Amino acid sequence: MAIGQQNQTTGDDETDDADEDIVMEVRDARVQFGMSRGQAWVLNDVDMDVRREEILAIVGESGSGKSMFAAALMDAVEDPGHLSGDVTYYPRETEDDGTPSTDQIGSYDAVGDDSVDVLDMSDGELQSFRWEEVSMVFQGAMNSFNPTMKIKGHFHETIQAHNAVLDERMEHVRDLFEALHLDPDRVMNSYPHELSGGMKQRALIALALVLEPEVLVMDEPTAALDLLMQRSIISMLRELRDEFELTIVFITHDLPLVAGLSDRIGVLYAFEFVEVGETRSLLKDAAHPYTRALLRSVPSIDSDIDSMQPIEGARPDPVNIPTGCSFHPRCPIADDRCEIEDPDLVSAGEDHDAACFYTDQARSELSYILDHGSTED
Amino acid sequence: MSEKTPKSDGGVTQESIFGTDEEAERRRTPPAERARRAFDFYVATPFRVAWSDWRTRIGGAGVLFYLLMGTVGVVLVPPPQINEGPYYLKPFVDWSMPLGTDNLGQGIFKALVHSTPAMMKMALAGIVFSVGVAVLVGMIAGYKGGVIDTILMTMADVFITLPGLPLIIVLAAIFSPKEPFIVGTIIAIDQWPGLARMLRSQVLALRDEDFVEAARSIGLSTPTIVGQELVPKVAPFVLISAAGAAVAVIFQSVALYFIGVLPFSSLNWGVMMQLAYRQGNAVAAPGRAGHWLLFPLLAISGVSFSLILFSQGLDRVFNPRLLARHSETVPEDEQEDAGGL
Amino acid sequence: MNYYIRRFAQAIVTFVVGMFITFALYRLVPGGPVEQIMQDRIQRMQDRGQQVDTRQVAEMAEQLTGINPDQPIPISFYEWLRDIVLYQDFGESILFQDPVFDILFRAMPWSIFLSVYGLLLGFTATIAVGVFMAWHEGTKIDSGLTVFVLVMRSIPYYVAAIVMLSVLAFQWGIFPTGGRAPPAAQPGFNLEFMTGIARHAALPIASNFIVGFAGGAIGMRALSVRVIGADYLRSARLRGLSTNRILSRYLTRNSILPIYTGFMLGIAGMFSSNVITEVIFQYHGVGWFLLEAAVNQDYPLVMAAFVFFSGITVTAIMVADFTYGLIDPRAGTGATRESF
Repeated sequence: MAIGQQNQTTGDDETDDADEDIVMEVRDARVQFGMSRGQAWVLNDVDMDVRREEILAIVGESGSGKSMFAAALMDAVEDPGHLSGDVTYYPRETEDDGTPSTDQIGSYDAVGDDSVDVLDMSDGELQSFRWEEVSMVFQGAMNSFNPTMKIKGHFHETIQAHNAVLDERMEHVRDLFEALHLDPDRVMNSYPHELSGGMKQRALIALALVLEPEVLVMDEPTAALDLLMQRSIISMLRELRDEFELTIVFITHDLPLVAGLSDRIGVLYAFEFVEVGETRSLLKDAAHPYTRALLRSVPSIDSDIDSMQPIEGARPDPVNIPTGCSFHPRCPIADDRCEIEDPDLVSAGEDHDAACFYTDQARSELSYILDHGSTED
Repeated sequence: MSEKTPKSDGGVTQESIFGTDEEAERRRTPPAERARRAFDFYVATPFRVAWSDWRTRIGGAGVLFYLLMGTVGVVLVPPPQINEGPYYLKPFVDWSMPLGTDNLGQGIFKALVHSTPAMMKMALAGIVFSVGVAVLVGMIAGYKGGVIDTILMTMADVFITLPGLPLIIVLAAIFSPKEPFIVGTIIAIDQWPGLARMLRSQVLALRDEDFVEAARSIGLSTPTIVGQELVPKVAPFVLISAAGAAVAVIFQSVALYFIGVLPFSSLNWGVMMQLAYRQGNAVAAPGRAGHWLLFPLLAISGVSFSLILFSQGLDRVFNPRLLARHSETVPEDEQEDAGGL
Repeated sequence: MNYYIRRFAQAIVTFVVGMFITFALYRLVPGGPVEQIMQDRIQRMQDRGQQVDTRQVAEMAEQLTGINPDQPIPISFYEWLRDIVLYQDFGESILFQDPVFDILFRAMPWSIFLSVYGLLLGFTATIAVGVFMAWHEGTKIDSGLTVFVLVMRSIPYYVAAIVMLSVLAFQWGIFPTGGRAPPAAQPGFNLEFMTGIARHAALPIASNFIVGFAGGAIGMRALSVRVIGADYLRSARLRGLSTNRILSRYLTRNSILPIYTGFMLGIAGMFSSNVITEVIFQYHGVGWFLLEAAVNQDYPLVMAAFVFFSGITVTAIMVADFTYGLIDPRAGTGATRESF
């Protein structure tokens, strides 16, 4: 794709409904890396609205830019990566008379602003903003704790760094631990290596929620866990969302995993969104050939082995993204137009957009069988 | 593939080895070509990689300079003679005696040059002894395991426990060695256990790796596996340790000559320093004999700087973790020990 | 607990084996201590034109060294060890004609003083500089410090000692040129004596500092760079922790782990190189006595000094193993861990 091609500007307006309560808005987010082989785009002018108290799943194969998207939400892209574009955060509305909200926990103060430009913050502001408004559970949770410090220490230092009240916060942590089915006393007094993967993961979620953030970004939080633990964490996330009025952005490569969890799904391919939609609609009636291929590659108990197919071809190289539609080299229904022109996200149903010229054709020609269980809550 | 590109470069050679049956490939390749490839793989490529780092370049040039001084230098520069100049001549005054003279009117520059072979011999003996013992002990312990491993490692433990310099002082006092080779060996006596242990753990780590298991399962004998798989992997490591051993031997031998523990029959830098100190009173009154002491000091610092720079460069070049860090796609892998003290 | 007992036993065994090797080596060399003293005495008597009674000289030499040449080495080793353990009897110094134990016991604090201070300063600097370089990885500060550290490492500590002695002591007179304390001062807790000690120790400690600092910073830097890349460090940064906390509690704490045992071995190395330092500065510590004894074939004193150095080394390594669990919570009982 050519640099600076404003490919998605027209798509914005269609997804922006006035009555939506949006907590984070991402516009033209782009992450570039300078490599010796040339400039690499690992996030390519991406737009996304995160709605308040929804669970948004971002699905993509490894190297599709999904971790970059997660990092972009809290302006945490690591050097030498460079993030540009707009990330806007909308704090929860304060009392109508404009008095400071009473539930301020840490040092971050968003009073008086109805929108905050995240990429424009000073270092100090950013330091408070992270964890107090938007926090994150990382990929590789197994190594997210300092190996020479007890779990308790991680909570204490985080609370202190944000000038919050220790006792009050630790009380909150006890609630969190309860919601996550963790024994507070035992876990708190353990070193990271003394805990199982699942316990560490849950403790990490509690650590992310200690300052009651609005948004919780989770980057492949269950990747290293066994299936049972994955399922149980997924079900706890739903409860957490309801109990603590959270917005969750859940990044994963595992489409079926989030089928029962998320309200909406965004599918990333080659560093941009190819399809975004309400979960049920997207799963039942995927409009983009890539999403359909993804669904077909998923193993399920019902489907026989013949209907399960891997996606042919290799994932695109960040330095050398194909021109036109980035999926065209691997797409079975691509034609000349797809090689030249890059499709924008266009409506493919109610609350459902796809970046493909031939959504109808894709729906009729590319079949997949859905596991019955995956869309049930 | 090999018929089509007999003069293939390193990369293609590797591809063809992995792509085809190795034995068949070997039979088709003439011995000269095989030797050329082996040279390319084991010598030329590492050399090219090493040369890419400024540390190895400068350090290597320095080491080469000292080697030339000890070999060609002694032929070109006549040996120092008594009364060939005035006593305690200052440096940079008379250009036939560029670094001045000592208490007997001998040229210090000539003495420095003619000291080099003794230093080289000591360093060489130290390297051969410490690396030799370490490689032998470490490899055998790691590869054989079991009782042999326990015995050898207990031995290494005992030797680590022996205090290095005091032991050498005692040994030097007992044996009064004069021959540089023996001096080097004695000084290197406490150098091998650490290296042997490191090699052992390297071998242990490698032993469990897939490719070694694969090599064993297709019936390659132990020496073949060691030769083909393990040696190239640990070679850089040994090279770095050798440089370290050389530095240690030079450091300590000079120290021992300087404090007068070692008897001497021939010139070396430590002896020069000792004479400058004892006979020239160079420390207390550097005005007269300071240069006699200073130039050997500089020579030692120079050679150790070269060797340390060289081995630091090698470490950087061969360290897989660092390589991974600086390449584009490979994620940081977690295997690797402390970068050495 | 079992582990500690086993580890302690192992330390004792290595220590005894090490001592035995030295003991036996000393004895087996042609012209061992007895022979050497005999020759020395005969030479002296002949010089004075005295009649030489070889048997009498041999008896005297045996008495001086405490060695019975007819006794098998293991038995004499056993007796030597027994006297040390039971009666702290190391024999009598031939050179100083004093009980060896008294000489060394008085010299010991001075050596420990020099070594420990040099070590503390050197290691602190190593860690600080290494972490600092890693924190600024790839910048000019990093490469500048790397060159500086490499140069520091290339200059042997005794070279630095000689230069300091020559310039700071002999030329400028800032520091005394040798000794442990001002000869005129009354030993005790008085100002003159204490400042005198400090001034006499300054240069030797500076030289030991160079030993401790040496090349460690480069290794420390590599370890720190690795910790900086760890997930938990990134997480800590995003959690808004202060740089100070990240540097101390996260970066330094975790980068020290692999180098910790090395530091403990460094203690042994420090005491070793302290021998040269003491000789250069005429500082009468254990090292200085060891050298005097070695050069003058004062066999009982040499062996005793050797016991001191071996003891320090064995203890340092054992303490390293015992305390590693305290600094790395993951290190169970350490039974399977590489100690070196």
